[in-house]
Amino acid sequence: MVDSTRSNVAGYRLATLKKAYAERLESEFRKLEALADRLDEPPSRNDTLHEMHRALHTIAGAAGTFGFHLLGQKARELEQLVAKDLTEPGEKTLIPVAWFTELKEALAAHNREQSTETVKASQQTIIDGSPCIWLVERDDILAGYAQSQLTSFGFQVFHLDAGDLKTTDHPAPDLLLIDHHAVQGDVTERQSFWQTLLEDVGCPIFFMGAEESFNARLQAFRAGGQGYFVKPLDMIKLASHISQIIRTDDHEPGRILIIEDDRELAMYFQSTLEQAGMQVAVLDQADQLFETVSEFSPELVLMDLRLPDVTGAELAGLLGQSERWAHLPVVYISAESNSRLRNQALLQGGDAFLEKPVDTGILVRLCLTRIRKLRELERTRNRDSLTGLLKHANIKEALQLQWKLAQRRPQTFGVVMLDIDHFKTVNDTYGHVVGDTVIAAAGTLLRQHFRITDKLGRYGGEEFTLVLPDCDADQAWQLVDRLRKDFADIKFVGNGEPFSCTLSAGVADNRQCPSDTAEALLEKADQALYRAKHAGRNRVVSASGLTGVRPG
Amino acid sequence: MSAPEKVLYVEDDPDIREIATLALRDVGGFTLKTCESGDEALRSVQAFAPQVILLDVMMPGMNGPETLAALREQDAITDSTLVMFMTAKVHPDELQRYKKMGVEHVISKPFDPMTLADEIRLIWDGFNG
Repeated sequence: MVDSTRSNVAGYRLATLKKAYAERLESEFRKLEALADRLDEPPSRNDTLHEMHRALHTIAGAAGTFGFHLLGQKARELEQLVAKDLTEPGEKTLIPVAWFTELKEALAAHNREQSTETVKASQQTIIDGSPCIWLVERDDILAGYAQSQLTSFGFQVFHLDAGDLKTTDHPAPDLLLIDHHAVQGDVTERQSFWQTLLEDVGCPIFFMGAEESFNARLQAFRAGGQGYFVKPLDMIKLASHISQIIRTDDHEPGRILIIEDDRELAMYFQSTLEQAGMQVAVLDQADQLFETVSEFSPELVLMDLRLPDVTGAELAGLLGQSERWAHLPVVYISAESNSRLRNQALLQGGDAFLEKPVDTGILVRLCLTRIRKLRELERTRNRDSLTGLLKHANIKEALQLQWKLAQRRPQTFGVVMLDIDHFKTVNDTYGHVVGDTVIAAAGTLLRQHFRITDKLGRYGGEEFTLVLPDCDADQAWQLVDRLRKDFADIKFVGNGEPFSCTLSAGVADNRQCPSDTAEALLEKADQALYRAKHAGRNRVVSASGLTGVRPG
Repeated sequence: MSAPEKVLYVEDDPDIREIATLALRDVGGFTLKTCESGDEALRSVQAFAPQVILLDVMMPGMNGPETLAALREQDAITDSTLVMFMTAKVHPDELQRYKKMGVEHVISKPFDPMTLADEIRLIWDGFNG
């Protein structure tokens, strides 16, 4: 019955009508807002409610036809609340205070979905063993939306009821994403509900809520949340946060440097911390301090306040003077009962004191929390906010470090220069917001594809640099080529039309220029990238020339 | 039994009339007349002679059921006319009430503009079957 030309024309007209309806919704919202303001004037309350009911009923009946399904549903819920208030006039508080915000949110969620920011990736990007998220959200429509978007970023997402959290047989979660209002009750009830429920859960928890306030954040924090996200959710940001916390959250053991001249005590601390899963280096000669820190790159220094010829406070002061180590947490161990000396030590740098005999439980917990804090700090300092990858200076530093490391302990490592094809056209055609989405998606995909030990950076604009330890150019080629294919499968939406992007990359490894410099290696990868571009883009080229200039 | 050609649609909301026109005329291929009120429907029904009449339930002035009663009064509806209500609320008691008025079929709002015509044809087939 519906031939294709006719349906094309209809589709176009439908889009026009949707746009007109969206404009009308704005004035409907203004009307509702005015009505809501009048609700507190008792003589006209009933009339106002009738008018509100009518307006909501109209939206409930029409919004879905124009494609605003979530909004229609919300309007329906509110319409029923208003109707209840009208038939049971005794109870006046039935209409939630936040109702208007909820309506606006529903519209905003729709607009975002329609707008250029939507990213739809194919199912292919889901890799087996990809991070698993349990989603607890009352609103099925919002849950479905979040589920599809997070899935497109390579997460497995399971939608659950709060009541099923303890009994479900879904794979163990790497993260819980929870609607803070998924259970009824007052503040304390909710808080204790989540606390008891989440006591056993060993993974990070993010809460979501409609309210943007100190109290909302505090409640989520008290319930055990590691993050609080305000609805309407910015899915790209959320996906980026999730992948950062899953990828970095204490998967890598903390590195602790012990500076202690009493060897037995040092060994005792070392075994205690190693049993708790941390990596430990021991330094007994203070003059080796800078060599040791730059090789071992500790995340916390545990040191005796009194060392031969030098005090711990002086060492902390020295570390504080070097730019690279100024933020390194320092914990003193001391039997010092002189509070003046202790205070002085704290003033010279250093974060905490542990008194001998040291309570090892406290020691382990102190190290863990300090290291987590340091990692968070470094994350925000060193990472590009759009992609969550290292910034230009930091990826170059990572390359230098890797180069030096390979000089000392011979090993092969790969370097990749990667660039999104025709990115300027994307920006010019769809605008910078869409361009940013493409870059953010590339960043998230990179993080999903590579190992924790790989260093991934945004070199600038749409250009990325990867440093891959224990990986030669051929292996790097394979990895990047898989990434290239997955990236080409991601469907972006701009100006209402779907489009996809490709990328080109050049790979090299340090065996190709053993006696050269880190810069020269980067230059080799860059030349290979140039060749990939020149050969028609959408391909990966190896600097060795052996792994071919294969078409994409 | 022939397929219906002429549909009369009574709806007070101009945006919904517009998208229904798209759904029924452009997508569905019906000959369509839209009316913005029960009064207008009463004035135009004889001349248009529709096989299908769609009535929005909630309208200012004359609502859907009242319009239906007035149309019957005018003898504008025969046994072969299919009358349907369109409403955003489909409660069982309401359906019961509509049934007593001789209306078996209700199209719930919001409707999907791409499938509304097919839905009407299906009901039409059942109505004549």
